[in-house]
Amino acid sequence: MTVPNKIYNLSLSSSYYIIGAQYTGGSLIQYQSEFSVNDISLDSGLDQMVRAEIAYTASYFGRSMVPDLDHMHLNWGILPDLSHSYGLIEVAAGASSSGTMHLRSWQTGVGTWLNAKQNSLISNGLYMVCCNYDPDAPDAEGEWAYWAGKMLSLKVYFLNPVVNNINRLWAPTAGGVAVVLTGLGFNNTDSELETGGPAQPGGWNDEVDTIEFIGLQGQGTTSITRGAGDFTVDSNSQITIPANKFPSLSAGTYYINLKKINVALDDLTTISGYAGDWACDSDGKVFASTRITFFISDTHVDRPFRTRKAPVILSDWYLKDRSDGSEVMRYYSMDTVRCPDRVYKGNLSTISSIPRGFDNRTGLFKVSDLTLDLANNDLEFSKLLAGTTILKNQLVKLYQVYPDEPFGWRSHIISLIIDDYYFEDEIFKVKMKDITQKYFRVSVPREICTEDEYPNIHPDSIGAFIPEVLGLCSLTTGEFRGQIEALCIDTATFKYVAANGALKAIDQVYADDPVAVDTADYTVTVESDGRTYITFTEDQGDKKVTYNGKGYVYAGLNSDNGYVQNPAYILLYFLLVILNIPPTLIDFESFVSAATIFDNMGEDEAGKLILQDEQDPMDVTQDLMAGTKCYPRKDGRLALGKKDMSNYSTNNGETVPVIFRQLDVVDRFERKYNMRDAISLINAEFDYVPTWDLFKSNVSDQADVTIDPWVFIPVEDNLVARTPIRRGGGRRSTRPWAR
Amino acid sequence: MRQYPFIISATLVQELVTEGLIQYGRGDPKVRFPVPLHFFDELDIFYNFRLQDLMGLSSSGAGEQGRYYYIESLDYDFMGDKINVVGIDLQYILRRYFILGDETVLASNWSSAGEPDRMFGYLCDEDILRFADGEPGKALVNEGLLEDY
Repeated sequence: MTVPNKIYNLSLSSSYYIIGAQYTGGSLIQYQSEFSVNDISLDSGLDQMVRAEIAYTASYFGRSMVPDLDHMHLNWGILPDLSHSYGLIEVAAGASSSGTMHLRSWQTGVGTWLNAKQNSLISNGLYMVCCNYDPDAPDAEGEWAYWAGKMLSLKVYFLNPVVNNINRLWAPTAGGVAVVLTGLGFNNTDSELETGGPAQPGGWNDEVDTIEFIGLQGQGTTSITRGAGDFTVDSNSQITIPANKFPSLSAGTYYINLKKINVALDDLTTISGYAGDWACDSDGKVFASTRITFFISDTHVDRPFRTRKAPVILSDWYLKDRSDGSEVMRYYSMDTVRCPDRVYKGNLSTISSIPRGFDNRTGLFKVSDLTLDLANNDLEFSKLLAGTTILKNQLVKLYQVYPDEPFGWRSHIISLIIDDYYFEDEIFKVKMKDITQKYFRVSVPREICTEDEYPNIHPDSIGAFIPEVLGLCSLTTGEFRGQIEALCIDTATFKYVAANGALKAIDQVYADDPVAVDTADYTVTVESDGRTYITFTEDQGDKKVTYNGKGYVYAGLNSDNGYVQNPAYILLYFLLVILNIPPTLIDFESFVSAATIFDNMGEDEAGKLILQDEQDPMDVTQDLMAGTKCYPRKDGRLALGKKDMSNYSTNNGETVPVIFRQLDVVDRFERKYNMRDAISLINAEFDYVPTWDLFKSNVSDQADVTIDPWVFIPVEDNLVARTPIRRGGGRRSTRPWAR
Repeated sequence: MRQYPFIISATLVQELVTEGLIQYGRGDPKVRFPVPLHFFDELDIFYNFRLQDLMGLSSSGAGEQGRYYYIESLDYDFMGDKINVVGIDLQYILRRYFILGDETVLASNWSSAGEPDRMFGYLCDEDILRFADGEPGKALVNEGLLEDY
């Protein structure tokens, strides 16, 4: 069991992250690095922090006072009051350290520490500072000591309860039905709330006490309480309302709010969360979900879906007013539909079919364009376009809902962005595209070396792409060695940029020689721009400098080796960080499930990624698939899946539907075997080294005879039917010095 | 030539190659059919479904009785009130294994076994290749019978 949690990225608030101290002007001046927390806010239902963990790395240490200072300590805390979090990490001279620092939940004499400071955390961020110099701090004029310490990410744990699901979504007015809520944080284990710090005497008392049914049509609010025996908190992840305790309620729809009363916090004692606002995976990672609507009705019955009436299509248009940037909402349906808080105008006349799926061979998703026809007889759109409303690139969400069911039960069909529109007689036609496509209309890598940034850059490096590196990249045999090419960006100091991010490690460096450069002849640094550099002690001239190394570190995605290696997580990193696709468009849970499958196969360290020549992101995504499939969910989020024995007989834990051909299929049924695509032999290459344009190894496998031998048998897999291999030494590269 | 530029594990690549041979060794079996729009909530991309088809392939002539497929694509036709489904035969996963399973967990005999149980290796009478209730099943190889067949 765990506690509901969320991970946030950190970014430097200042332009450097050297921390240390200098004795100057008769006093000790301390330098600290400050980090802001990205995308953090206190949302409804996720607004009470209890503790947090900071992933950090400290990798460089220098001093002017040998041997006076042998150790320094890291301390950290929340800005601006510099009240630290009661912990120290010791780093010896010349050593490096990485791991987890804790922001405590409770402290003697202070109370519930992080919860009391959560507003400061959001507003001001975190700091990292040196202290407790051992044996002596700089104490003579001009003495100094410093290192590079960096906070990587922040994992925050919340006290709010999270409801993933309810066993039923409706009940009769008389009540009398058993209802089971599943989720997390219904009664957290105290020791899990206190990890990294002392225990709070008397405990936290954070068990759910009250469940409110809040009527949406003026029925009022009905509460049931644990104290009265109305429900039981079976575990941290389950609450049961027995049949004889479910209350009698007026007909209508309700939201369900869970409350914890008298929680042992310094300032606030009541914590609540609406069912469905947030959901979480098995690791407790929360993600925004849809608030659950509970339906009280004596006429509704759980009918088989086959007997439902035809659905109503609803469309929500998120337009923008160019005069002030404010959001302009429009709602259209095929008939005018009145819903609890809005009216859908009946302008929608025709919707083209919406194909959605993936290519089973490449694993890539595909969503076709959609066209909507809207009636302009009432000049709705003539007036709209004449005003200041922007349509281009704005979001449209399509839903379907059944006439005799609550609006809150509507199902998301797809989210699209408006690409173009025009009038045809009295019809306003709108063409829309898949929302994720725009993020793939770039090339990768995203960063290049420029003379402006590096004034002493080697001419061959101008315009070259700065490598992106993930996973274990190693080539230590043969004539050509080193998987990644470093680029000379300072001919005066013999400095090369190795990667666009902070590498876990650089294992070997080569300079046009199969023998690795002596480690005493270069230093590796991660600098304030977040990039990794190699600095030689001597000029390397025009030599091609290559290296082997371990790729980026990203808390939450790392393997046991402390950096990102799982093929599913490397793809996630590529989509999330390199392509910068918003987290709201990614189904994290599916990536976690896919990663678990690789983990169970013993292949959680099997992935890597090197980007140093210009490539199409779609090609890279395909190459990163590793037998998985990337597909769009109904809500527009990209998901990742892999079929194996663990998931063939369920759908995310739900029963697999059975389709009866004679009952359910309404038109022609086709069964195709596509024998043209039959394969008897597959040769495969793997572990590509872009620097030397070679694959490190290959495997081959042949099946038993699968079709009659006098029929043409393709002897080579043609699955990867795409543009000619781009491995031609940077053939697609825009680098002027391409090999 | 298949290429996995960003995989470093030979065992994983071998696994993927073997999986490809099994999945595509006998073509690329797919089914295409439309169902009413009412199936909207039950079907999604990558979801599994089971197909009951009297005309499906079966050595006993019983058709397909809940054969597993998963969904490659859905085409929502709101004007036609239907969803066009393309399903991929999932049998390639099941036929890679003949797992006897955990006898302390699985139902003890075929007639009481649920469908998930039946994916494991229940053995029928090796002489008549049927279970006690008459359903056809698998037996460990009976060489004499194989000659007859």
